[in-house]
Amino acid sequence: MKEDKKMIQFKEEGPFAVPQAGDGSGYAIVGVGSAGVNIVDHLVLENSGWKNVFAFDADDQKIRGSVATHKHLLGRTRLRGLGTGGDRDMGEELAKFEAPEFLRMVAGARTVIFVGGLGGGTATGVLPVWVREMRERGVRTLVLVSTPFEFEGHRRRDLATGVLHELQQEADVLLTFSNARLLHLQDAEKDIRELFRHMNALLARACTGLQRLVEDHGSAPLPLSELREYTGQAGLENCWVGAGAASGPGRIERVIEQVMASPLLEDGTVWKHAESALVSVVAGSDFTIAEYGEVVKLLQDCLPVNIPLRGNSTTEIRAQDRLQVTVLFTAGPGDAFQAGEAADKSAKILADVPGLDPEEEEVPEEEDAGAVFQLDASDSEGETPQRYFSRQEELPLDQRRQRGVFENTEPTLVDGEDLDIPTFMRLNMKIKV
Amino acid sequence: MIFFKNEPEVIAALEIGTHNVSVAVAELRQDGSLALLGVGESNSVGVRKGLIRDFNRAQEAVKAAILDAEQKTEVEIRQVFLAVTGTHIASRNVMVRTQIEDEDATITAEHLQTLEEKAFQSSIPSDHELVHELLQFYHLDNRTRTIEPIGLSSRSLEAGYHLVHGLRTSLETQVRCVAELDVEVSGVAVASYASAQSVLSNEDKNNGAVLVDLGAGVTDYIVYVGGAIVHSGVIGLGGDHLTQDLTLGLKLPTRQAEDLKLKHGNLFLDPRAKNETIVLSREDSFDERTLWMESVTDILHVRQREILELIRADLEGRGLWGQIGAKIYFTGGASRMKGLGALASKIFPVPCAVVSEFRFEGDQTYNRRSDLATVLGLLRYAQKVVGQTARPRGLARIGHSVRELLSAMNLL
Repeated sequence: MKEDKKMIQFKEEGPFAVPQAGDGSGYAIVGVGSAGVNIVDHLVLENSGWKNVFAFDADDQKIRGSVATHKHLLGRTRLRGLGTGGDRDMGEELAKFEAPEFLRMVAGARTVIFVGGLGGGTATGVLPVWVREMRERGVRTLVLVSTPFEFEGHRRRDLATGVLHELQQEADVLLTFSNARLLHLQDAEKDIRELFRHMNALLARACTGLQRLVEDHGSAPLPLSELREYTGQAGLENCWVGAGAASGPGRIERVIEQVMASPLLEDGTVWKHAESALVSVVAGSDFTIAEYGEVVKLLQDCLPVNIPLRGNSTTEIRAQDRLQVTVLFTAGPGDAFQAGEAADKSAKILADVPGLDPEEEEVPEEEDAGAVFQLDASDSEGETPQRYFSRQEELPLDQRRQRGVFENTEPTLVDGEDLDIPTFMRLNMKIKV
Repeated sequence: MIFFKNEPEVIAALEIGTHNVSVAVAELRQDGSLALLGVGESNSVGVRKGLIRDFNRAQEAVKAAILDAEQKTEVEIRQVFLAVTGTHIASRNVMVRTQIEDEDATITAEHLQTLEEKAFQSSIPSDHELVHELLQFYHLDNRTRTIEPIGLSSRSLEAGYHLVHGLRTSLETQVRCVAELDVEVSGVAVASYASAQSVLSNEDKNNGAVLVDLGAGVTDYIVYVGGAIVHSGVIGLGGDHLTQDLTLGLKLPTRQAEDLKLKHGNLFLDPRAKNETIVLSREDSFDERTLWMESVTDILHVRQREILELIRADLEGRGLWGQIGAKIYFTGGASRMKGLGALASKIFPVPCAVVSEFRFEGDQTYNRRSDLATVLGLLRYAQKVVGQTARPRGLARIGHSVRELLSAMNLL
């Protein structure tokens, strides 16, 4: 028995006590915070078969309205259901306080998919703590987060980037989606809520897509180690999801059409950075291998760039005629997290990010070496191009967070440097994985 | 082997380490020699970087270790010498002076006493307590250095002391942890000093030597020059940092990282095995994983190098390297890391040696336990204390002032 970290007890009351075939036993999808709960709600509404879905938030109305199978109001006594009010420290406190309940609820899970929106109080404060708890117990963690819109303000973005760094260290896989990606949508500008709804739906699909990619029941499940290779380092945005579903004749063509028309792919940024396409295909028992091959081939043909596809197909009796395809386009390992890099260096680093196909025609001539992400000049009409890969050098090395086993100790400071932070990290060393 | 257990003088030493609590018990024979009877141990809980964070759990661990020791040695433990550490421990050298008023200017024991008291009055931070007042040397008028001035003639007498002090609250916590178990704390020593007694010979001390105790929570070190302690220190970095770096760098659970470190840890990568991998077998909630050995050695190497570098730089800043005629010795649990000797040789300007064995009479089971350096060394310290006076004075009672408790011993 080592220290005070106990191994997971397989309790009777957890949802995993009796493995059920086909429900992805061993997996839990955990939505944290307002966006997180919205996303898992969406997920449940679209797929009634998903049982191991959890919702956690500090907002009473949110929890009561949630359709997740298992839900829990955080900080009932302290906050009385009124939410964290964007206070990240409060979120963190709640996380520690509510950790026992969380652990009890997900006991037995071998893989947890966390989902939430960064920049506020609850998800931003809770996710790093609970992800770490899971990691300490040897539970695999896949984390999907959305990062704030441009207009949500500097503070929310700074908070988000700080937490991203921690999550990068703690989670097995971190997929980040930029809310800002939707800004250019023609009709989206009319209603902010519409924007969020779009995003939530897409993230819900990303969750189920991800889970289906890795689960054992598929034709070619993606092992975690392989998945990690496709996702590498995260910045504010390292993943774009395309989704489609159709039934009846010509369903393959229609599905692929929908995938390619997905909002997050619309402005073409994805093609500059995606290095892999992870494809999840879900269909009924009548779906043949030949059809699966057709899906892959058609997708490949439609892609404007040459990206390796890695797919897993899952059969669901309930799907009957319906064919569902989710594609996660992921940016590969890059130099995203260079904490402490000087401002002028970051531009050069971004220009070196692998994956930029030199033969690609999409790259506009005017593009300056530093701004990797840019709105297509024709769209912006005189507006300054937005940078979505926000200033790398500002990623704060939030030193309190990576304490791990040194929690509650005085940091070992030498010449103002916290030496509890791993040496290899402070030296910006690349570790071969 | 049967030791004379009827009416033996038994001494016990206790260390509340970050990973282990150990209690070493030895018999002090008639001829003054020491025979190890056994070492009781338990897993330490609630101790981080050498300091108690969770008092109750730490105390339970201490109790378990004491019981284990009693069981192994069939001796009832009523008092112990306690090793203390922590980054709050600080040290400095002071010089004090006194005039020899007597007509014939002969130095007496009283003069030595006066000097000792003067040194005791040296200023240390107000929230600190003095743990050691270690005599370095005496100086006579003509700058003659000696350690036995009694009977000599001089107008004035100077003495150099190495003072070691620590945060009063931390020290009290450590003492109280043991004292509340109805076990008297008869003396206290800092870990670096204690460890040195199990490793350094008198010859080493006279020629100039350094002892580094690489523990799980902290690294303690001490420097002898010309037979006297000239510097000591504690760094808040240890084996736990090596494990934590692996945890974060390879994304492993802590327990797995610790196992990995112990089984496969190496500070260097064999150039012939550049593509060597380690396969961690599949466990309950853990996929089978393959790691690059190179990653493991990279992570460990830079961390260990950093720790050693800090020590090197500290001594260089004090101009001590030129005075080390013997070696720098490494002991402690973390000194068992493969490649430590080689790495140290690259960093330090003097010969390096990783201590492989202690020399103790009695129970030989623990001779290679480098993680017991402190507690075994503490026995030797206790041996000297007990040997010097009839009984150490200022016996501990709960609530007794720590200042009186930690009686200043001037020993080399």
